[in-house]
Amino acid sequence: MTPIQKYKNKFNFVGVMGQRLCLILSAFLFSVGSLHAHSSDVDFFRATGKIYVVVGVVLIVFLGMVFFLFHLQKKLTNLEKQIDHERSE
Amino acid sequence: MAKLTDMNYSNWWKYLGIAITVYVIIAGFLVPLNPGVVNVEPGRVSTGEEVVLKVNTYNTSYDVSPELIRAWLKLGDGSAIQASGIETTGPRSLDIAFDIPSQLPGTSAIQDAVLVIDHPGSGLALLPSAVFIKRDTSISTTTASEWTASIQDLHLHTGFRFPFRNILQETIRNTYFHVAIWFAMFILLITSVVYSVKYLRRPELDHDFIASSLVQVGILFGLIGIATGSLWAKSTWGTYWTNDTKLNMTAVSLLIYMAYLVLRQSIENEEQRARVSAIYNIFAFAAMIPLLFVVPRLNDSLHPGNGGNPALGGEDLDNTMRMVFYPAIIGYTLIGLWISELNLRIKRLQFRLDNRQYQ
Repeated sequence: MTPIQKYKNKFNFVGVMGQRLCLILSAFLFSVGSLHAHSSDVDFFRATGKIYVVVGVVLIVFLGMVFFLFHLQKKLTNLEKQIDHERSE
Repeated sequence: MAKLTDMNYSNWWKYLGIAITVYVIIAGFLVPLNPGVVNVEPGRVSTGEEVVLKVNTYNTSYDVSPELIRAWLKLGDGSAIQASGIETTGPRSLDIAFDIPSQLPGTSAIQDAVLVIDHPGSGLALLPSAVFIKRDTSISTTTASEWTASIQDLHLHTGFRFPFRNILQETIRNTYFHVAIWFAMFILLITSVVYSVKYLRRPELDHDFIASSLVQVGILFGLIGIATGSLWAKSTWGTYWTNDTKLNMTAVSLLIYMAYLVLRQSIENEEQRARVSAIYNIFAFAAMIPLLFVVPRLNDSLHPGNGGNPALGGEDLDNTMRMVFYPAIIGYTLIGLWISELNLRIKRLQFRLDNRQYQ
């Protein structure tokens, strides 16, 4: 077992499950947001001075950066696979 | 060939970036807004009328000692009348009665008046152009002006508070999250242009790696900026996208940068790819400056801070906001640089792996 495989096994619990969890969580958050936006209470945003728009904006900033970090993680995984592949040859 | 671990990546500025961003989020959310007037009904009155204005306010506590509330209507030339009666209908709503005089100073038939409400516990609340007053020509006017009230002893809030803008309300805080991310994007893209120029002066592939990893994070920030702006537009303008000059020009310049990514993908040879994309990057940046900073100012725009004036002046960005806005730019830039450094390290690793130089 290469050191990289050992490392991967150790931290595998954040892998696929973590990504799925993130997707479900973000889908849930967006559905909550759209529920409020389409409810009959048109003044929902205005009653709270539209603070939920700011919360949504911060959430988008955060999720955007997390999305890019997942993209980088995928690139790193490919590099690890490449190294493993060359060592096994 | 140097070892990979010989690369010196310093960390202190990353901690600084985190600390600044945490400060920005805490201050940006917790500092309260000044009191303000949300809406006034009716918005049109004529001279000689006795009107009761139904006023909704924000961040006020008019139920505490309501007898101390005073209100005025002030015209453009500075003359004003005081309210004849004020009834508190809640902490954030008032019924204010005005006896509009039978004559209007000046010559214009319709004038707009500022509603000024003062209360010791809440502070000063204003609404520019709250009421339009129309001259009723059927009433014979007296020559003596009745617009003689003087506005004094106002209770200005002295604490650390953000200004209240009628349309923006709490979303004025987006200055620290939406506007700052555009500034950070701009700084990242400038830095990448520096490295593109460096590559053209001395063709080292590492310069190309630095430039391209910065552009990628710059595009990410641009997309975040578009998405956050779109969410705000939905709540304020009622639509995710309008054919506003500023919005369209931003989309165009982002598409120009997206083409940079496509261009890089399409060239196999590393040196050729580096040279072509360095030149393209310089042109993309040169195209972005008029698209983002010149064209939107030549036209009217719904976007806050536009329509002739830049956002970094007047009351759209006062000194309390500057204390959060400028750190926000620095914080986002540092986090963007951090993400681009990770991106860069992957590129360097990939390069060494592909060229068998890691052994």
